[in-house]
Amino acid sequence: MAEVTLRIPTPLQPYANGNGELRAEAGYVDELLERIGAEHQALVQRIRTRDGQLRPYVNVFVRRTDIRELQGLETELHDGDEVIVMPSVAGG
Amino acid sequence: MQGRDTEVFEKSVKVIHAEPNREAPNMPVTLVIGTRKGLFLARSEDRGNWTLDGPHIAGYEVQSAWLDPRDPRLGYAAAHHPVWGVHVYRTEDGGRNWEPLPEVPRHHADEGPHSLRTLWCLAPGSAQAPGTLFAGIEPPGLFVSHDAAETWSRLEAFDQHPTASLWHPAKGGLAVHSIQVEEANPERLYTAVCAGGCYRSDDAGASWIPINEGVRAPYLADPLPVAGHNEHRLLVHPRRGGRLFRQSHTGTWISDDAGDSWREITAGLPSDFGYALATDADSPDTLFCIPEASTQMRYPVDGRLRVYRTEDAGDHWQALSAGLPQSHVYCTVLRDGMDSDHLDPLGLYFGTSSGHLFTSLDRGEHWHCQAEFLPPILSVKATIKTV
Repeated sequence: MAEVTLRIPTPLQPYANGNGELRAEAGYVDELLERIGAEHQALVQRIRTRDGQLRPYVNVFVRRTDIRELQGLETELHDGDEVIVMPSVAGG
Repeated sequence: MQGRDTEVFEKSVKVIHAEPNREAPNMPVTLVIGTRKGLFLARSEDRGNWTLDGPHIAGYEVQSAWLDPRDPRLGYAAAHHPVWGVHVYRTEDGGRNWEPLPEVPRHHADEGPHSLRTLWCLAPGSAQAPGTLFAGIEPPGLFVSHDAAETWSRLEAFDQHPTASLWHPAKGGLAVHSIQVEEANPERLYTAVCAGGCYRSDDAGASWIPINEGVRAPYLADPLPVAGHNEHRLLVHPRRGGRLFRQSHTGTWISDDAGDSWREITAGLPSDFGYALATDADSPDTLFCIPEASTQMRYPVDGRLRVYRTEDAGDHWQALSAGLPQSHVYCTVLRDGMDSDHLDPLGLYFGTSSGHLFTSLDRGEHWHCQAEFLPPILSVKATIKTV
């Protein structure tokens, strides 16, 4: 179990009681979202679909790498990791 | 925010403050306005002076939103964001705060494109069934909730109807919209598909019949098909059972037998194309519409924003333009973009794709612009009791 920080983009902060980050203990990204979601369900439902898939235009970075290039939601977390949620950016 | 005569559009600087209609009942009205960038509320104690509140659910496209006519402390909004997904929001304090709900109507457990693309329509159930509401989604599906949108059940007889093979996406998608309950007969439901036609259930959604007989569809191979029509709006008169109006891709129509047969009432209108409809509970022969130039252009005919009114069930039409801009108007009023409050005198409200909100307190005789340059307006719903 690692102590990690979930960094929350501004549009989602209203769903986290206004917080820009939340701390939790978790071994994997999925587990982190599960634990955060127990208290902040609406926040996590905007990151994952209701059946647990990462939303197509939501990017999650662990150690500066998109988890889609790692093990996805099963990416392992280490003590001190920052898990950064960012919407895809497109357009002008 | 004061009511403003839209002379501002034509003379660009002069703004006239409208006097509240002295004859109007001093009845509070709340307008719930869904836009492409969130939800707004316009509130008035006298229908003359309005205050605007919002955006709520900022950044989300709010396709359908209303305060519950059965209990206006409650309200619901269908919200979509291209990144954050599709969600239902509920208010329990008359629209001051909106909270997301955990569930959404969808065909399957997942939220992939075969399960839920867009939540097009939320609609209240019968007054006898508080807490019941309906939802229309894409891919085409009709859902019911009996617990104030906490959970949803699919009315599968609708999307499994044999004529569903005739449904196909229109320009805006494949929307299930215009869901309404006939209040005197709550087992009777109506809905429309764009493009798929209008449907009626006489058994609370257990079975459905297409109600499109005689409605022309010249854009299809069969010009008089049983279904497949590109329906823009279906409106059920709130008091006269069986009196329906429909704005089709081609033509405005009326029915007096719950949709078993239709009479076209386009003659007298400048176009057979448009979206929004409104009626008057006290006058079943009254209908309001906003004709648009063509399927190609989709803006008011001749660039003049005019509401058309019939008071004799479509035999005659009158153009109503006082206070509305009469040159170079290239906006659209969408299917849920106009509503009436059913007070006497009748109040009418509509919002445009240019983000302008217009109100009338005298059955459309005079119009006032209450807000400009909001995000593109998708829906306007009036509730006459506020909290």
